[in-house]
Amino acid sequence: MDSDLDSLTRSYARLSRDVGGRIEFAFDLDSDAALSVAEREKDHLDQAFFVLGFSALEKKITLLASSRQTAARQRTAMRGADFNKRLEAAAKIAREVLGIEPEWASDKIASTMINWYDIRSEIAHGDPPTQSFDVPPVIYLANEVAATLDKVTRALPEKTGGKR
Amino acid sequence: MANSARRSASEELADPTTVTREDVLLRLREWRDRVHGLYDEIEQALQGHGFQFDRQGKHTSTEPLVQAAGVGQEEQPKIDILRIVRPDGTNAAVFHPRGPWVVGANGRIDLRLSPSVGRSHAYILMDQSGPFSAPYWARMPIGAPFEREQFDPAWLLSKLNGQRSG
Repeated sequence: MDSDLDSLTRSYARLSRDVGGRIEFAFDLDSDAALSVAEREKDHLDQAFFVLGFSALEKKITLLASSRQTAARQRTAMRGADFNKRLEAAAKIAREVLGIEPEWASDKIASTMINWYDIRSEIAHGDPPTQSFDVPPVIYLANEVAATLDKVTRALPEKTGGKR
Repeated sequence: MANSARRSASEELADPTTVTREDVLLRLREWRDRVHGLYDEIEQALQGHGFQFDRQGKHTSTEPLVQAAGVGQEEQPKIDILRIVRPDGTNAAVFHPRGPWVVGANGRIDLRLSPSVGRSHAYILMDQSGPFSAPYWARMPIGAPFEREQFDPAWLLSKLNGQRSG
């Protein structure tokens, strides 16, 4: 697993254990007030780690999309491009360099990522559309893209004869 | 007119301004059917094991999406809260539906197991199916979101029997 994602996963697992323990403790206390606080904390935790997980996913997409660009100016331009464009470019590079269609580049999953991007933006503007987030699927997907990035990074010098 | 009959929860959440009252009501009815279908399976699996089932409690949504679409609580389909009750009248388990709008999943139910003696255990059931398709319920301890397995009523029965013998 990618080390950034590994660290994120461990943090989320640890903090989830902590807040989960407090929710169960509130049940045992039979305290609605304590339960309400602990459940709100879990919602905040999930929301925060959705944003962090998606940011990690977006970073991998951007790195993959700019992996064939040698000039810093081009890489900066790619970073500023629309998420859809970066996603398309990342999928195209994976196809051309590795000769395979990664599962994450399927229409269904790509469309999910675009939705998550929009939701992340709504949260960043202080307007979360829901309180419920399932974080692991975001981290799993980020790992899949990271694995593709790793393969592309290793394959590119061979494809370009070391002229990257 | 409903315009998102096949849209996922994430699609609706990504573009909430296009979600109509009809979309919300359609989603909530379909959510009610999925949740009640699960309850029916659970009741069937636990039948004859000495438990009573109480579905009188109801859940209605206060999600921002529901409010934005102008759907009041009184017009929402009522989603049952399932209490599994021991012969002495105490709760052995409570299923509390949270809602269908979950980023990354197709709905969430919270489950609390309360042994007669000892600590409570809380779980989450996430429906990992696609929109408007057969549900796939994954269960996970509330404090361990990566440790998920398919929910099976037989697992619940073994937990509840374990509470009795423990």
